[in-house]
Amino acid sequence: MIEPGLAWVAMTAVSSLATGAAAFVIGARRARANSERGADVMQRQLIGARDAAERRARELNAQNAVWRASTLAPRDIPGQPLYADRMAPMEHEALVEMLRGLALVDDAVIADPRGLARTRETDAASAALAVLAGRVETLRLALAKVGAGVAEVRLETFDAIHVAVRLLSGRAQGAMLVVRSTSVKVSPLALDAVARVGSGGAGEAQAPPLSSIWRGVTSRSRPDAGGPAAFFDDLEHELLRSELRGLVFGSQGKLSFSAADDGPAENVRAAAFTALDTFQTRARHVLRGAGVARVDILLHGGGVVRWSALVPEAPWGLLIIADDGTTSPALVERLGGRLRRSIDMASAATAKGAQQTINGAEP
Amino acid sequence: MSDSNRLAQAVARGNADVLGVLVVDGDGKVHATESTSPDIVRAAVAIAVPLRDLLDRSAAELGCGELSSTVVEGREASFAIADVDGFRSVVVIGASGAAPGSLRADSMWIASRLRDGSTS
Repeated sequence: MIEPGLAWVAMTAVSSLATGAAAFVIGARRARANSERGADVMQRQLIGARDAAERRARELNAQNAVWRASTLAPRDIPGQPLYADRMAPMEHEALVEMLRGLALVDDAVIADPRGLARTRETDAASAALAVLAGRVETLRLALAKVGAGVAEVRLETFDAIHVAVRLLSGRAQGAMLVVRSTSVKVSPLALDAVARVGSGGAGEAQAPPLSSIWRGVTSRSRPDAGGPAAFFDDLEHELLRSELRGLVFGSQGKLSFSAADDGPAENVRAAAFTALDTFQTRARHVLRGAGVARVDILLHGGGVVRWSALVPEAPWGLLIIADDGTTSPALVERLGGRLRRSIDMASAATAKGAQQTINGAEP
Repeated sequence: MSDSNRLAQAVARGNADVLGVLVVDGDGKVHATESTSPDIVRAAVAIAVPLRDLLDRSAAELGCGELSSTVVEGREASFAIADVDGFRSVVVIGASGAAPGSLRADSMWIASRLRDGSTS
């Protein structure tokens, strides 16, 4: 038999233990619930922070895309050149990708003087751009014979296609960067930046100065004596007024008027005119009939040669030679407009005279 | 006049760089020919089919995929071949000194126009 007092003590102890255990369990559950609630809060905070970070990243990517579309700054430039003395194909691709990303650039290729592209071609028009590089090489060689080093050639067609051909130097020596755009010219600064990366930092300082045969001669000649006098007076006047070095007018390689004021000799002017005339004919073929409206050549040493077609359907061309920065394309346009009017008036007068002759001959 | 002939004329006539243009299919049938030198074009027709076959196999074996275009540069002159539709080829034969790139561009232009069905 168990003593009643002992039983009471035992029951009390058991109930105390049970109460303690229950309190412990309840406390543990509460603590767990609290920690789970805290974890939920933290998880929600983390998800919120993650969403905000992702949104910010998307915004930055969008800003970056806009930036990339308008500047060259964030482009990936190959850091370590594969070859010390020449550019690897992947470097060529990286260079043209810098330009293809610009919003106003339609296409860009790097080509060799034989007219073969060294970079990926997107279509047949890209191959035509590479061929233009070959045509520029022919032009460069023709002008080199008369002491002019070509640095860059820009042409514009009558249907507003602009093509810039930049001769590369340094590690990219011999290659040409050809860029096509529509309606607007590609910024020279963008071409400068790409050419500088392509050359490996070398280049412009090594350019030879313009030969002295492009300076110091003042002469006039009218190999083709025909044509209206007002027409040639206009040319003479513009030569003096606009501080041009030289001015040539003619068609299909044949000079009608040639003059210089402290500029190149007549044989140099004729060679330049013939080279430009041949170039625009060939460029017209490469561009599949799109007539060349204007060709601008930047020469090493600060000279500029501008060729302009007077009208799309006729072969008349006007060439001016000037110091870089002293003339603008607008000058050529203005002079071209005056010459066009002179030609129209002369044609009208000729037609009227012929009609009077016919009428007078009638019985 | 067929589209092929118009395109061949557009490239070859008045172009001192080009001796001849022909469009030939895998069976050796000539779809267009325009040339200032018929002998060279006759020779080109004779070699066009086996050459195209060789180029197709070379491109496939070397993992280059289907042939698109190629230029063969000789010491004197060059010629270019471009694929039209996997069956027809455009061959442009260059005169001495002609830039290889211009021949390839001409052949690719004709091929592209034939694919598009346009001669304008």
